[in-house]
Amino acid sequence: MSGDRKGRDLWRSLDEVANTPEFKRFVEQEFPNHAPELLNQKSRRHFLKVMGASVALAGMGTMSGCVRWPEEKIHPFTSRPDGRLPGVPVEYATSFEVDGVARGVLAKSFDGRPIKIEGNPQHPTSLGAADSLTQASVLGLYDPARSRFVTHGGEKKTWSDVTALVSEIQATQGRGVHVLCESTSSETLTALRSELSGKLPLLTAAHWHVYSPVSRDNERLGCYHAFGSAARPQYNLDRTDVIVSFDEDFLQNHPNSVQYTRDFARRRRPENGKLSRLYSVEGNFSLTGSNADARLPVRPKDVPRVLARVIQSLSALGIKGAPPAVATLAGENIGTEHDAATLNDFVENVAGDLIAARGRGAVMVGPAQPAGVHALAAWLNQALSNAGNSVEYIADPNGARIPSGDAIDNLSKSLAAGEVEYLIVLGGNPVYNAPKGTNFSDGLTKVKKASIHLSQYADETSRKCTWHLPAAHYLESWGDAYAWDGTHTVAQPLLQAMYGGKSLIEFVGMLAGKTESAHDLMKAALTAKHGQSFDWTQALHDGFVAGSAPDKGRMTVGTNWHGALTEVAGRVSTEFDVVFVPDSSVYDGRFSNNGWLQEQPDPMTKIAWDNAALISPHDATKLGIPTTNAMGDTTRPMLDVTVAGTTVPIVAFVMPGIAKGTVVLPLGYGRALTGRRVAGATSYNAYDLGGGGFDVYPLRTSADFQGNGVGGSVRKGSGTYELATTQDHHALEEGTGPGNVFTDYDLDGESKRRNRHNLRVVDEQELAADSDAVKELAPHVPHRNSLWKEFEYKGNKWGMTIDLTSCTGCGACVTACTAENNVGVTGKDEVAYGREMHWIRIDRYFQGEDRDNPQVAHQPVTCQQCENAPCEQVCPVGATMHSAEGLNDMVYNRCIGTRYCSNNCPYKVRRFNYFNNHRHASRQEEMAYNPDVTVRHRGVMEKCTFCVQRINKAKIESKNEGAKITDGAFTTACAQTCPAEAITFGDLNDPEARVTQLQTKNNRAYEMLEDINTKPRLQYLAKVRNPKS
Amino acid sequence: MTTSWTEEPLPHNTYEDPTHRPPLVTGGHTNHSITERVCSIVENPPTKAWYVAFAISFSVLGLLGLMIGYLVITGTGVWGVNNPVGWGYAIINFVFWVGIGHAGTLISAILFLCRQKWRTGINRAAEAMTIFAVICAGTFPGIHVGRAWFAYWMFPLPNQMEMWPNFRSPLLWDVFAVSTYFTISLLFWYMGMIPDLATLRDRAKHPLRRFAYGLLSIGWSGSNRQWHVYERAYLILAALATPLVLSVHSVVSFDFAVAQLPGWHTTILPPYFVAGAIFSGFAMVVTLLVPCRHYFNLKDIITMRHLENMNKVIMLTGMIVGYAYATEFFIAWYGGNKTETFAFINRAFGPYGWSYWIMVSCNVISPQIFWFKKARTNLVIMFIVSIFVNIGMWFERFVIVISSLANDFLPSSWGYYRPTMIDVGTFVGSFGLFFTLFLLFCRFLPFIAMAEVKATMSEQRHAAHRDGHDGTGAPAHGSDQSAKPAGAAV
Repeated sequence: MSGDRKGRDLWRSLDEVANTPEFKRFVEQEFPNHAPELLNQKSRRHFLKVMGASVALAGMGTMSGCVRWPEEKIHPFTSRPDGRLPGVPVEYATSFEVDGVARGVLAKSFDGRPIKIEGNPQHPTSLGAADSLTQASVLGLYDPARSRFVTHGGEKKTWSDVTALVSEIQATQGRGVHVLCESTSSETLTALRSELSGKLPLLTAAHWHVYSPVSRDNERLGCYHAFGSAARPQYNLDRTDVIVSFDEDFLQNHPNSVQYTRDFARRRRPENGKLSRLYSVEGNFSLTGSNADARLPVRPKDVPRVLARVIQSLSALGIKGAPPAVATLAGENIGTEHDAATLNDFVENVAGDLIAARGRGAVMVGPAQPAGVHALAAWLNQALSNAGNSVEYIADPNGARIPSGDAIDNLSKSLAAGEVEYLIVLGGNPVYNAPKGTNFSDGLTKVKKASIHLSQYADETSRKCTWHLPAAHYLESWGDAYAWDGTHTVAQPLLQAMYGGKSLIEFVGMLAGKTESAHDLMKAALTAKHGQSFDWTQALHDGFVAGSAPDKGRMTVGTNWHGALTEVAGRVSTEFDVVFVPDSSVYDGRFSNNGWLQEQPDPMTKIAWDNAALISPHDATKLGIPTTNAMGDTTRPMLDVTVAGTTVPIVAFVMPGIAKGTVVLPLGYGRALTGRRVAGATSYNAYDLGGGGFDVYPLRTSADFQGNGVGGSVRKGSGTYELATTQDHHALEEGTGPGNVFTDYDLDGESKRRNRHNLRVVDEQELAADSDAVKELAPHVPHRNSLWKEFEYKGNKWGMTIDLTSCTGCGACVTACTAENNVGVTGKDEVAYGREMHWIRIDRYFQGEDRDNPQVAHQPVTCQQCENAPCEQVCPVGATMHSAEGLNDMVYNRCIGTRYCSNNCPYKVRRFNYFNNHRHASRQEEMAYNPDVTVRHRGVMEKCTFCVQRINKAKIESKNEGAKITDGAFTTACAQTCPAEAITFGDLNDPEARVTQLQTKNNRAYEMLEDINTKPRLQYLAKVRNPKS
Repeated sequence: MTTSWTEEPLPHNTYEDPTHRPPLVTGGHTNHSITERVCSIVENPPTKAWYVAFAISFSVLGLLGLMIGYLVITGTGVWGVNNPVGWGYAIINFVFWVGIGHAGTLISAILFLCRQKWRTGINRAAEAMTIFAVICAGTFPGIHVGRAWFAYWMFPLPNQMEMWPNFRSPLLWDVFAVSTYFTISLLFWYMGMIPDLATLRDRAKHPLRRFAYGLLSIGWSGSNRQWHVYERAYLILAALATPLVLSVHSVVSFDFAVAQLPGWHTTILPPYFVAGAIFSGFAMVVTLLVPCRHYFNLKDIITMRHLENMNKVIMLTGMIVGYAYATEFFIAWYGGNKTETFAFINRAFGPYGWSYWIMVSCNVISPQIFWFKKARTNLVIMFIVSIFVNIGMWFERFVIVISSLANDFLPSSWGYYRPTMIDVGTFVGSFGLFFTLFLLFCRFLPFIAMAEVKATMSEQRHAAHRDGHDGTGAPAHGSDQSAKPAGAAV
């Protein structure tokens, strides 16, 4: 792009280009040469040539005077690069690393613009699926708030100034140089660090600190205690019959959640055999907990006690050898939340199932539990012969690092002691998220010479540092990292750094005095790692180094861990246990400026744009907070949460299922500086659209990093705060209220089964006893006869099924749809008012009598593409029509926006553009639009199209090839990315297609609202639970 | 003009004496005095009160313009509508105004065919009210769509793409029903006005007035032949308009009845809507005429008997509406459809229950006071009740539109609708449009159908002197075109 255009790398119009001397010369030369030929009229060819040039030039002349279209940037190729067809997207395999764990992805690039991130189908931990954060990362690339300039003390500098700074640092030999780096498992970085120690010999490993606010250090340490070496558990959930999760949210807050979801879901299909059973013991109500067959909400500090009781029960069943600390823990009181019988039943059930499923069980412990508990789980898995079968371990690729909490403590001490001359912060945002008590922010001011922050945003840390260097996005960078299973995953850039940022590798290479490009550095590092047989091109093509995952070894548990477990005993719970969890949308705060993620509701609370302190209805009542809100009332009361003397006011959200005595605080919000306009950038800032939430990092101490739990107190605060939720209420909660009418929807009205005409739930035992159990839950359907001869679908007839048993409710489909279909971001106020634009939503229903421990069912709802579509017949202008392939097409051009179709849609899946929902998008973000999908303007209705652009693409391809579209050759965006494979899309006219098989043969298939005879082409497979009877 | 509007000359002409029909015009009027009384409203300079009222109405009309401008420039989102409540104030107001627009044509057409002579005193104003209410109503479908600049696509306009509206859509039926109704009502109103316009023309002193009324009275000379043709045409138009009175609100109700929504999807809606429309229309006529008859000194022409008759209609239609409310609930229970049962329980006891009880108290309970003749003939009471009915009927549409949409099939999608200031401003603004037009009508067009009133007077005189000779039937004033020749067909 840049080059010899005198520093102007973008040009606004052809006129501007026409001012170059070359062009002027061309114009001058072109005509005199050709004009005589024109006069001679020698050939038609010449005539056309000259006419063409004349018309083009005439056009240019008038353009400045008469501009009718917006000026566009055009970057013409003089010659087409190989393998590149304009308008045909290209996919590149790359990887997205979060906190040291890589996710293998495919980035779809359209004419040089990455527009969509999908899972890498060949990558063993992705298999074509991707979670929401990964998918939304593409929008971060185009974030106009990203920093564009090197700054020093707020003044704009250039990279050559940085070179001078680097020489200055190199001159010190590393004396007084400290590095604070985000977790990463890059092999290139490891190689560079050894080079760096040549340049900066005094920068020792002890001065290289690795910190991430969200880590799995306790698990690594626990394994270290147990096995004598840092390891990672690998759960083979496709081979696991009984999963017992102790505070482990492996379906969402886990780096390997995609693979785990897939494996878990494969065991949740009655057609595939006996279902696995999931037990969950946790304080938060996590997505995993919502999918559990039995769940015990307890305070986080009681979680090890429950585990200890399970082990005690198991010892009666022959599992011996538990250390004495288990008996101590088991003897400790477990809150007052549950009566002894409930608790005992749960423990007995878990123990019984675990012993029955020896070698086919998995005991998991979450990262917020102390290392000793992880070690105990490792021991238990070994004692139950699960280790080596359903649970395996691999060596941690970067196992030697100091835990994050200690690392930031160490650095802070050095800072406070004034030992640091140069501090280089590579990524991260420690000023915002360092634990309380480290006083990191104050320490930073004591850096003697320079503090340097390499970051994509000029954020809180950048403002406190003397230097800020713009970092490149991962789609602009070379890089490598290990996936959770140890697969060495590579990243390649799809475009040149838009804002001139440098990647981590590039900057560390600079420090190490390397002159090679990042590409060469990485190639050398990978070749060194994998030997001469390493095929660089193949690795780039695949996105990972095939076969690089280490063998899942069997490790033997020693006894060194007993001490770590003893420390866990005797912890006293204070009034409230405070749980910090990474947020489902902004994670640790790094995605704060991502509109797609902010707009996406939390899978459990359905809150968008904010975080909130989640408390149980029981505690809410105790605190004097109403447990329900009046319809349409979006304001919620404030709480004052106090931990160790620091009080943070935060809005309360009463969430059924949170353990009593527990307050859950999602991290990552309340960032004061997020997305503020950076110098020179014309940007929107996601927070302009509302939200913001509350910063809870000030409450987080180093103790929390070690899993020791933080105790605090919670008081009713003053004032209220508005929260935007996409589901107004605890919909379908049992009890009083108008929703109760829906609770029993079967014919006799006597059944206690929780069945409804929209959501059907059965137990596995019921289904096994009666294969028609789902059908019997059908409402009364008077008749399904048609008054007229129904349309015959001769070609394709598209249909979909959604398996409610597999679906975990993670929301990856929502992000996929947003990215694929250019779904607008409306902002907090609009979401609060019910005007969010998502074409697919996930309805979350609570079930059960106990408000403090309800069950949850997730139901993705998108356009059902009804045969008797209520929307179609009421549109006065015929803007929504039935296609010959059975789709309810929306004709945006024709739509005048009466909203009658939406009113008449029983599924309420239509979305109206009350405003121009793309008005917030910057020019950069517009580049993320999928050019195959119309961007809808205000006043127009829109809805799920079954990704009609993909259908048409497949049809065109099949037509060109003269072959029929094979089942599974393409699918919708939601189905493609669903980690649980819950969505099946295909041609209902193909009897062999999976979707046809499911709709016609599966005894769980049902239509939502069957009784109103809309004959939807989307069917659900009923949710099956597998509780111990 | 010295008495207050609440005072009424006694005795009333509301007695029911089988031997003696009470007169429809009191005060010993002659044909000439009627002409003088009615024409004076138009011919005298406007009163201060008129100016004040007009200034207020016109300002409020300006508010409507501002609201619409802001809406079109910014987007439908300035209103409170959301997902799932896609229709809000705009549709409520539309149905409300169409409903009000019912009384005029009912009075002029159906009562005409039923030989209800008392209609003559009120039909002109009622018809005017109808026209203006339909104009107000017609504003809303146009602006409520997301892309108001394409609202004309709802009309079947021939185009090169051969693209037609969807004839299956009740909204399209609405377009036809309302536009037909408006056309017929306008024609009917105008045609009935021709003899009176000619009277104004003949009395006009200013050439401009003479020209304008002359143009409007299209050469009316009052000849026997003209009267004959006129009466025939009036009868035919009345016959044409009668089914429209019933059809237009039936079709409006199809917007709801044809939809799937529990609470909308009921067969009772067409008759229920028609009854409600007549109910609200009569209430609006009472609301308008009680002050007008005072300020325009028309208490002799719009007598207590007229008002009492209207109050009787209000009471009757109010009870029909109440019966319909009860039937809906009964069927919701009896039908056994759980979603419908829920919709109705929710209507009364759900988040919008307050609006339901406003509706019931205003529409069902308040007209019950008209069982008492004292109340029927008390101007204050009837005015208050008519206002209540207007409020109640607006809330009836609110209940139907909002509560069904807010809580339908899937509880996950339930929402809450809250109007914005723009919604309220637009609604208030539509009253500005209505009253601006009505005040202009009072000033420039004959408020009372003089010709028809005189015809009833001559009949009274004939009745009084059944055996005697006719001495007073002839026009008292040579230029009085509105006096029908004796024996003209009625």
